[in-house]
Amino acid sequence: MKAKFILSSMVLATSVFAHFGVVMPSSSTVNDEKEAKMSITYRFTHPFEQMMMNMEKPVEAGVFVNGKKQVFTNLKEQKDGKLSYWTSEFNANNPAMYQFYVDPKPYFEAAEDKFIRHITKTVVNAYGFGEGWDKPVGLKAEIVPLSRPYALYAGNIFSGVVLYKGKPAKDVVVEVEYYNEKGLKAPSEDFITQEVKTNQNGEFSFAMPLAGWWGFAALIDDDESVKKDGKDYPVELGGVIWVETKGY
Amino acid sequence: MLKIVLAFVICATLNAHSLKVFAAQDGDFVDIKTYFYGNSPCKECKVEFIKDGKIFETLKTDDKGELKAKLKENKFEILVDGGLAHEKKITFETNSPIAADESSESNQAYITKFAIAFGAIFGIFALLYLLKRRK
Repeated sequence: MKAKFILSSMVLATSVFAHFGVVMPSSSTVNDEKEAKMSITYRFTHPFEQMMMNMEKPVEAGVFVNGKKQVFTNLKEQKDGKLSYWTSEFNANNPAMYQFYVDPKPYFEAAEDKFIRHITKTVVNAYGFGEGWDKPVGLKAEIVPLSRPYALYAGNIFSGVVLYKGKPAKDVVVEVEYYNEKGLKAPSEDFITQEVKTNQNGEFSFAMPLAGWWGFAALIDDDESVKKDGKDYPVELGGVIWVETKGY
Repeated sequence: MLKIVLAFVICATLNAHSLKVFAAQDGDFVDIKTYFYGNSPCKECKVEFIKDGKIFETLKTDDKGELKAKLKENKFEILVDGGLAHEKKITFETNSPIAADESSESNQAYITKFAIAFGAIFGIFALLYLLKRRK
């Protein structure tokens, strides 16, 4: 009974923090041949707390190169203790706009009695190509940048429009978290996950005060449910984008 | 005042339209793509191939800002002139050494070869002349 209580408290405690799908390439820009061979990491995590969660093999992962889709078949499972995450290798050997994406297997969050499916993408500009970062790739839930999503300085504002099934989604909460590899401490729990909302046109903006990777997760109640043990559960669909900021 | 503003505008334009040059080896050729930031091609732009400070070939890009050129050196510089102070120079090195092309041989090597060949012909005729005289 005591153990049960402790375990359920732990589950509730972890569910306080926001979940984020992660697609993280080695860099958000490729400038020469040395940077062309990219390693892309796919995780399911609480980014600020750096509390990783288990990620089953994604349903699909790949890249849109100037709008054309390439599905990866080279996903490799990696282990962090007992928890799985995934990696792939990709050679950005041409000037282009690369939009890496992952569609994960929906994760059942018992504490919230729902499934979580974070469709996540990251945009990489190779060899100064510079065109196409503002184009949607057609994911069910997607954040389309209004600010260029690479070569950003710490302190820049990132703006985007949230699309659900291709249409702007108004009044949607966009959770924002910093990928905290520096061990920074938040003043209190309230500071861990930042929140903004989309306006009538599905647009939002957020200023990123630190250098590093920032995740934006637009959370939408999906129109589909997932069956588990004979019961239909709702799905929290996340349209997630990761952007990188750097200092001078 | 207007001059200063104009100078700023021009500088900003230069940055916003920075010229990019991408080169990749394809067998015995080098594929070159030239474009301004935002993927607008550098059409019919002059491309100079430079080795040790000397231009050894000058070509032009096509309407797509692309060019395919036969490799004549293993390491050289590519200078693209996009006009209006848009110039971009990159250093290119082949993945694997290419066989030296005769057209890229130095004049000195050509003269040496010519002299050896001429000397050999002269030697053969001299030998024949000596043999004839003995008879």
